[in-house]
Amino acid sequence: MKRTFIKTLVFVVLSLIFFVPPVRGETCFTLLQEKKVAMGIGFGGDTIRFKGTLPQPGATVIVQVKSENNPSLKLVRKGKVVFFWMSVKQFEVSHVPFLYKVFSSKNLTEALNENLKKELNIGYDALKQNLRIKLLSGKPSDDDLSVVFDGFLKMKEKAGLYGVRENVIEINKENSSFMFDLHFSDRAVEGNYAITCWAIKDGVILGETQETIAIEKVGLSRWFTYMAQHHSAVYGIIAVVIAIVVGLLAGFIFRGKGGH
Amino acid sequence: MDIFLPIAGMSFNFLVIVGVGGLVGFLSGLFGVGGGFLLTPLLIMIGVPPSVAAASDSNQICAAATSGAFSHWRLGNVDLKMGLVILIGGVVGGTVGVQVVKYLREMGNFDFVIRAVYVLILGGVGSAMFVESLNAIRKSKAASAQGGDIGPNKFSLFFARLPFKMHFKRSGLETSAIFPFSAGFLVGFLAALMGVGGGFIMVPTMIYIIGMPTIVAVGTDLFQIVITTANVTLQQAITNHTVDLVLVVVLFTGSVIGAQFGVRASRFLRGEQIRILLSIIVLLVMVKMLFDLLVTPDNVIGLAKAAGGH
Repeated sequence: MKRTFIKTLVFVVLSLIFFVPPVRGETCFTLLQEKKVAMGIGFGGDTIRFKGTLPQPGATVIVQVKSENNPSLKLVRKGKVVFFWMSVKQFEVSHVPFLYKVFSSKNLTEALNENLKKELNIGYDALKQNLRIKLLSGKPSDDDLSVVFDGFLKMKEKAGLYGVRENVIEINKENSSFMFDLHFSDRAVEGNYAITCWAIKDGVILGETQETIAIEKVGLSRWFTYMAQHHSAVYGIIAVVIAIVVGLLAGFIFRGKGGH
Repeated sequence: MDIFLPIAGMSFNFLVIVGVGGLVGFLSGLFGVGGGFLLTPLLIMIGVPPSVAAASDSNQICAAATSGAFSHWRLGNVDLKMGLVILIGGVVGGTVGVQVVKYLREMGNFDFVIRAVYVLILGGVGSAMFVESLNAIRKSKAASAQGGDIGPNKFSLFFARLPFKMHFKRSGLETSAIFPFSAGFLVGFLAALMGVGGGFIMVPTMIYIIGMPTIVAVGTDLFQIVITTANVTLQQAITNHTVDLVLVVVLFTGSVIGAQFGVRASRFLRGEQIRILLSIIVLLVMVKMLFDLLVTPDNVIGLAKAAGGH
């Protein structure tokens, strides 16, 4: 009886050690120094520094940045008709983020196995699977999804709104902490951006943290946007008055210099 | 030195925007064109969204044209009566043009139609001006006090026989009001269709078809551009919310100075020299648009074009 009990105990302990996945650490490891990006008149993009501690030495750090407000958009596909390139199809594209970036401390293919990729829903492949396209005009073809997705990626990467960059998160010599500068493009729009950070080792997630960064227009930039959206007639009149006054003023200034 | 454009939602180097404004302002003062056909493509080329570029362009041109028109008015180069008749025609033509644009959009592939019309009109106007100006320079025609004017032609003689005769003192013309009204209508219609101010069509029309002295055509055109662009700015602000005042103010800085230099430069050039320069610029824009239609694009996927233009 005693021997059976000991055997059972050993079995349970070994099972816990070898078969039960480690509990994800919620304390985890990211530390954002600022959680707000202010877009004033002098804004030209902004950089936010991440610092954190690795749950275990040798872990890979992956950071994903994703916009929370993702409206659908209309895209056109161009084709050659006789000698000329023109729009031949129009699509409505939805279920893709406005901004999407992934950064890592090692190669993603080394850090993520197929199961983890599916679980984390990370990378361009995952985006392609989520993407929905609706043909608004033109004839459908088999390659529509891949052509639209590839062109969409190219367009977003060119604007600095999409990117997957491996081996860019710095880990210290002691293998205990990491640091990373996240650059927000000036093309980012107002709204919340979810930043998810994972620490992964041997195909197991050791820790996961999610934080939100808000991008907001401030000062004159905010006032202009508010007026243009909510008091558009007043805004238009102001624009015309400024144009005429500045034009006349310039005329007087130059007359003063005796040009004519 | 970056500056954030709140409506466009992006930032640019301050000097780049001032430089673009200065270049277009100079050409505006020199040729009497609004510069929309140059400013909008230039802004799009540096990355400003087309709808914001077109709307803000109207507002900037309003300032540059006010400055230029004021200078020409002081020099006595504005035929106010002619300008008003053309303006009325332009408003009617523009209204009809907007309806045609709406119909074409519903038919599909409006973008291609616009570019094709651009190529045809710019190619036709530019080539005609280039050939005429080149001939004038070769023959070393004596420039008049107003600078190389075309004088009466078969069009102006035909219209002079039509009813609703008016006397346009500053232009030295006695002709039917139908004539400048029709010219204004045509330009207003094309301006709505092509999304530009129409100065590059209006100035040659005034010179070659109406028979106005070159310098009066330039001054009068600037006058009608002020009114047209003020109206378009207001409409764009109310309808599309795409006028970026920060972009406009920075463009002003360069353009109002550029326009003054342009007006001064125009005094050192004869009429045919101004025309040949304008024709070369018109032809270059035409070649660029034709090139875009023929060459394989970098990316076959693009954003569906937003409405805009004036």
